[in-house]
Amino acid sequence: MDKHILYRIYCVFLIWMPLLTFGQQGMLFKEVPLNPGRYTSSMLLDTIESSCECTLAYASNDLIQEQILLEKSNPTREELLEKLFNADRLDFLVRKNKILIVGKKKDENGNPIITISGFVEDLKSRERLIGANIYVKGTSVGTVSNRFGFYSLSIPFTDSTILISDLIGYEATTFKPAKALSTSHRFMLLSANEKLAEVTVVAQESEVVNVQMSNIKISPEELRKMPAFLGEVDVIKAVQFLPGVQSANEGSVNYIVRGGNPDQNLILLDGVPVYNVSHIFGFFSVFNPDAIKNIELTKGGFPAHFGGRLSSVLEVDMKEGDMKEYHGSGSIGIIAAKFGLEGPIIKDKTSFMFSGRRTYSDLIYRPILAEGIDGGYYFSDLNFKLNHKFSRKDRVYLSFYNGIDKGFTQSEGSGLDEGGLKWGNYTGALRWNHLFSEKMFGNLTATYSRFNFEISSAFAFDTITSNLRYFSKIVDQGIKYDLDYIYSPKHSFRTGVSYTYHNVRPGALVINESDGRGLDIDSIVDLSPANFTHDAFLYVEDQWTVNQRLKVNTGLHLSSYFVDGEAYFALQPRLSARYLMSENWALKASYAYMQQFIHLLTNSSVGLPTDLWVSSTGRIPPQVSQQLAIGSTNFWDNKKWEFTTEAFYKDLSGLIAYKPAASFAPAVNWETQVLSGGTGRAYGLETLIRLNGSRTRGWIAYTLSKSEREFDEIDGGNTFPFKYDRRHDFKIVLSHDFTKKFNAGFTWIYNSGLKATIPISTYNDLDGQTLIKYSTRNAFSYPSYHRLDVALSWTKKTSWGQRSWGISVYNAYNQRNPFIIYFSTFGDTREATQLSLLQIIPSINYSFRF
Amino acid sequence: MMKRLFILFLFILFLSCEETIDIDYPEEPTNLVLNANLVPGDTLKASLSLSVPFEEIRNPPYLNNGTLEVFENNQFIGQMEFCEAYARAFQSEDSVYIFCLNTICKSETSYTIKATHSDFETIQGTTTSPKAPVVSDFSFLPGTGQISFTLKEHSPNNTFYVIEVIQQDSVLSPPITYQVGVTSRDLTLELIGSFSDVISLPSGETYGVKGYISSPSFDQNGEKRVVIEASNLALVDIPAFLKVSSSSESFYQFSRTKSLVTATSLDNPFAEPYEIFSNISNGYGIVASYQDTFIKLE
Repeated sequence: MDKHILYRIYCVFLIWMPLLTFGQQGMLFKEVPLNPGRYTSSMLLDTIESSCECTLAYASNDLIQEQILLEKSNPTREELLEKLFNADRLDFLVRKNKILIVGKKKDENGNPIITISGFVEDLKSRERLIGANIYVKGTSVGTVSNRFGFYSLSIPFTDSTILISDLIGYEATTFKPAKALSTSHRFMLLSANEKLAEVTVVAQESEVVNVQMSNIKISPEELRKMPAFLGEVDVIKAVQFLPGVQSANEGSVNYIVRGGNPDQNLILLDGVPVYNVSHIFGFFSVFNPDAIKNIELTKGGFPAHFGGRLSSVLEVDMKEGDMKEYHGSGSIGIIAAKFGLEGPIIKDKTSFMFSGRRTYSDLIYRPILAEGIDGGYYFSDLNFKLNHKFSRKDRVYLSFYNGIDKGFTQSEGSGLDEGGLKWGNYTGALRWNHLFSEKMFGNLTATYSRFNFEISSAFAFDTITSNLRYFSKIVDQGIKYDLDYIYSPKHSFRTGVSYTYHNVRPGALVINESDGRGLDIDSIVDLSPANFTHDAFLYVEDQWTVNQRLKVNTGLHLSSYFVDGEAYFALQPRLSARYLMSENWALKASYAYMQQFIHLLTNSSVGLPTDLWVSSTGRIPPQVSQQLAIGSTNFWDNKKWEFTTEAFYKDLSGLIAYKPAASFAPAVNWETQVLSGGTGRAYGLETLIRLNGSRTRGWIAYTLSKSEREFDEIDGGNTFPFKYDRRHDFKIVLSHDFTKKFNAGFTWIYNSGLKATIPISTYNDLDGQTLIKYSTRNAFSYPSYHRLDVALSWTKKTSWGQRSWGISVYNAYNQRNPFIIYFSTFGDTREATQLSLLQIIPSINYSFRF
Repeated sequence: MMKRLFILFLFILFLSCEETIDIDYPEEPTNLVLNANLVPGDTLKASLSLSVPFEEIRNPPYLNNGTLEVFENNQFIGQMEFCEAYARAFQSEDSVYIFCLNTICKSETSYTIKATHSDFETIQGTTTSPKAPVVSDFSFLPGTGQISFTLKEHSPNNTFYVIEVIQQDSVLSPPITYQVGVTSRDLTLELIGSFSDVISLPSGETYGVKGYISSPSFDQNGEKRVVIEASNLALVDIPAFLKVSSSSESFYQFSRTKSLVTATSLDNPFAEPYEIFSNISNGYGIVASYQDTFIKLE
């Protein structure tokens, strides 16, 4: 079929899909002209039927002639039907233009099936809570709140039915349905922080309840108690302590998941991709912990709604803002200070959250620079979020993030000489949640993401001026619609469409020159062609509860990518399954096929801003992965301890890499500098022991893994170890509240060294030149890496809130870990020299909250 | 720009330190190195030397006591002898021993050189000498520096060309050859090498000082039209040439990988090193062959 016709059909389908979904439900949302008062059931049914072009099919004998009280005027048909049929025996279904009155569904024991739905919120701030567990006490029947805190659970009702909701870092709460009626219920959870050590912080029950595997959450509270580097705790560095995740380099926020490349990790801030998460060449990430309410990493078993990256998805959600009270927080550390404020604009209706962070070293040393010389470096972050509740069913969120790194020099001698580099991210998201019914939840998101990097140089002498600016950028504009529909106790559907327009400009040069006598140059040169690409996908998932023990999530993700007149389509199947061995023990398995269209060209992996984001093109096809994982999750000692183990196998193809000897060069078309069609595989075993005690929390993680690559042009096409093929990776994270005021924690990491290619001998060539003979690719292993970080914190409640002093020691026993190994000359010999980057670094910080 | 990045990096590294460490080298014994460049119409010559462990800083020594046997189309044709006439000496006064066989190298002929030495395993390399380059429809526009010509694929699926623009200053003794950077819009033409004048590089072009063209680039008629621009070519006083080398696959791969390595020296330290191509079994070096043709640009 002609590619363009296919494209049009596909686009039409993408546009109409959400509209069709609305249409199915549309009949229910029409209002019925009725005044408040008492009506009989049959009167209400007749009114509904006469108000619509629909047919009510029912047996009159089944109807109870009871009086129904209407509190509001002009209710929707759905509200009316829910009032009418929230009885023990009856229910209704919508089929085309008919509303069928049917007997209420019952389970095999004759218990009526009811649906409990609503939101899970923080008791104090009324923030909606992501990933909270909602389950029936004493069973493994349950669900997890979605990214907007919504849940819906259909369960058989008995007199002893009790629902429990909990979330790591929160006190569990319960709800007992009074009657066999479907109803909505809002779970309000109390943060452990509010009660400090008195609360038993629950385990992640979802690891057993949930069919999703290879998924780990870190609560903000856990994050705050981890050791800080230069006084700053960091989201990404916390993630690097999870099993299967490794730091790319010493101190770097770039990370490797299950043997994948650093660019194969999708990082979402409020659902918006963030392309470069590095500050100061990777020593800090762009996420300000004070603005974060949720951190969740998915390493495998990707549900169908995920796409676009091969190895992981890291979802970071900003706080929504307290709906009840104003709160502030701030801190001052060795290099940065931050301040945040949140609170209601209209109580219980509109709230805001603002948080800012900036390093200040430049402010200290600039005044002492010599006259005529100026220069400095700083980074800053700004997070802002607005949250408005239109009604119980409609809520809108507007979130914004901007982060900048800027370094500059300026000198005034015989002329003006300026230079600088700057990079940063802008992200924005506008989201509209709508609750169609107790079983259907929709979310529309418009997103904007921009990463740009530039180096500039300016020179002025007499009448001559010269300005050069090199820049690269990637800009995404997208729209996405997601729909959750709990069809029945056994089937829960999720579907959605997404479209993103990528503007990828890998490198351009802006030249402005003038000699002051009429000779002017003013031009922009695209050193690599810009790509304007269309990235659209459609997905559908069904979470199928086969029986009490077996739950399956099947999904399809149809991706499409249009670039350079080329269209890449892929049908990506996803499958996850959970089998309960007992209430506290689940076996899990998953398979995921993924494609990636945006790639990062790097050969440093230290987070240099010169790493280029590039698009798949007609010559460079997308990267592909298939991942298979099996695992087991256990809880014991009243869910205080969790033991998870997973084995995975990941097959990679279509990989790209810089050609040997090539790297970032602004003047070069990147397509001529890369190898494509590489393959790879990674496999391993991960174990996690997690302690969720009342006073002691933390985990021990160990990963045994292997990762390999193959490129036709490297090592004669032979398989070679991946640069980040660390065989052993061991981590401990532990934190203990000694008193209500004093907490101590430490982290320890050990992993096998990075792989490298090293010179092994010299020899003469044809022309008599001396050449270097290298080992086969990555045949050499760096020395192992290990490090201990320690954190102590004292917190005191004050009349206005609380304040904390924190002392952290990075690399407490001063281990000299390798960053780079190179060769130095000593007389007539060469010796390997190791550069160690970060030795023992103590730091102190002061923080407060009110 | 890399300088600015480096300065900023130094700022960050204020707490870094260096220490000398012992590392476990992958086992790598001293190896025999055989190099031979067989040029059709010339006598057959080769050299034999030893590799040196990377920790030692000294010139790899040439050998004069090995045995080099030559096979033409798999038939033994003689043993190379040490040739006084081709001995060279570097400033270090290390001797360079050249072995030769008084036989003229032929086109389109397979040559194998087998080197034996009492202390080492026997090594050998094989190459097939190419036909002379076939260049037609040549044109040169001095104003823009545009050079265009057609190359002929003289051996299906086995044709390899290396092209470069050079300037040769014959006034100096010995004459000095300069390589001239060229650009091309043809992305199938692999241009490799450093090129300093980045501002003049238009969008969608590649650049380099040597161009590599192999069989997959030729059209169904076995032809390849090459269009390059040497816009910085200064023709004043110094003669300029288009040099077209028809080469064996081994020479093509050797030259290409060596050019990549040369380019690396201007790159950042994170670039992966490149292995220079070798076709010597059990040792290092290269047995290769090429034929040049020069077209004066005027």
